[in-house]
Amino acid sequence: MTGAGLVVRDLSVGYGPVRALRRVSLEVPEGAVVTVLGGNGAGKSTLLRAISRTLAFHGGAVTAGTVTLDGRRLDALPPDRVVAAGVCQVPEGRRVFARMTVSDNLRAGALGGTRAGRSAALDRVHELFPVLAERTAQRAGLLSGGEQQMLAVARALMATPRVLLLDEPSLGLAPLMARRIADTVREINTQGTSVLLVEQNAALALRLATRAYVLEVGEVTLSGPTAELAASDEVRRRYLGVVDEDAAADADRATDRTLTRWKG
Amino acid sequence: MSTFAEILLNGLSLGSVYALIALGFVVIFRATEVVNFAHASLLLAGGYVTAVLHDDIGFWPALLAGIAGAALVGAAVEFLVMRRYRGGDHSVLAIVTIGVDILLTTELTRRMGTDVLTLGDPWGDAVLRLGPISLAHTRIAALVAAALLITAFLLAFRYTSWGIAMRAAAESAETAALMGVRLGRVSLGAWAVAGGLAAVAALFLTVFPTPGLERATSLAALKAFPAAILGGLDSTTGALVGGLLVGVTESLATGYQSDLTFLGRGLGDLAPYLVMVATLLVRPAGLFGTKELARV
Repeated sequence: MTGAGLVVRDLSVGYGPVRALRRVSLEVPEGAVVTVLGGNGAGKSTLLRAISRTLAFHGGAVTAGTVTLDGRRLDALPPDRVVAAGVCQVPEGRRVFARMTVSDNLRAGALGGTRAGRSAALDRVHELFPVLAERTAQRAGLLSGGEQQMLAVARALMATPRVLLLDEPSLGLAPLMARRIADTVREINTQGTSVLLVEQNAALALRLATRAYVLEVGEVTLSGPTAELAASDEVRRRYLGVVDEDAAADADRATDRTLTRWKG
Repeated sequence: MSTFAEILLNGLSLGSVYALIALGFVVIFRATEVVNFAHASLLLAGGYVTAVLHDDIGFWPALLAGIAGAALVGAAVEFLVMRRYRGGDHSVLAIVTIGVDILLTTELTRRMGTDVLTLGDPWGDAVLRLGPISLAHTRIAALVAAALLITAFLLAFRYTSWGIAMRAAAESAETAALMGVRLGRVSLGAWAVAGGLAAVAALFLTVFPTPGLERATSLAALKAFPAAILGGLDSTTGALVGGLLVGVTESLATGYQSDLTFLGRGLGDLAPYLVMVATLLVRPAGLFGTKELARV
């Protein structure tokens, strides 16, 4: 499990005495879309914070384990160096700089880079999100929710990351807008950026990703190719909201025999 | 009428100097959310360096040295003290700055003793007469210098990468960090800029008609504090308006003191605080401050 891409090994995280993650391992191979599913409080955002090294803002710390990108350790770097190394996060709830204009938001995303790199990234972002090109002088706080999400993704892309971490990009968006964001994620991926997508909207995430991990109370309980997971009764029942009677009956009969339990 | 115009112009000039100091407060507050009570001692440090050096190297180099010195002291405070507490409670940090202030001020006043130091400025006590209005050259210089510096600062704040990093960090430190903004650098820069601005303010607080740099100068510097608060601690516009408001009020209260004797003497020193309290009663977040909004 070493080599290319983003690799998380046996990661444990605590907020003071509270264990938030326990020996979590996952892999985002170069060029892949990988998703992490899980309900509220499962530790999804904590996982992304641990990768981006912003746990300290929440009083948390990594207690064990490693995070590497192409074999290079990220877990001792300050947040800005993680970005420089090529891992950039779109935080949950969009978090655009509401009092700054759209173009200043985008500039804020590219502060680590060079001027030439910045204008290339800006062209790419404007091509992906033409609406942002029309609103450059507008304050980000006045954009609609969907536009803010686009801006948040665009801002992260300004750093030309190799791995993009997305924390619940569809949260609070109308289904149509969520689908647009999904299309964009696919587009970004085909342009060569790996994506780690954290989602509660499992239907959307399973369609986008090639591999999925299910996080429950801080532990990875299931993992596998998305096609397999999407077909599994447990995932269908718990995350896709499918209540077909056969599946329910199956589950009743054999809760332990569904999919292979993930072994750390 | 001519006295009124004179008082007003003097007040604006004084106010622009307060605005320079208040701007320093605001910059540090926005970058780090810490109220910097050590600001007056940064000012004193800048003034002291200029006062000590001007005889040997001339006024302008000494002024530059003062600015650089105060910026350096500010950066050192950030690097040696504030950085150790990063992530700590902001109110604790504010109290730490009080400690830093006491330390710096004590050392500087020990060095100055009871002397009143001149800064060797080229304006002296020359006065410009425009018809019935007479204005000291120093006051005009203060107004012009402050206006230039503040404009340069606001332009940098608006258009440079430094300004963008600063504003991003002010809105959300965590998100800024996620975007690759180096928070340590932002905070170091804020302290250095605040120190530099304070050193310029030190010059104009100690030139004619004030006798010179002395212990009490830091008290004068404290008047920028109500200026920053009444403008709204997190607003650069607020710092400017607040500074001017405090300057003009002080100037008016001092100028018309003879008509206000029923209120007792020394009203000029008190006026800034009265304006601040009155403003906060009406607008608790200050004139331009961001209201604390909590979504339920």
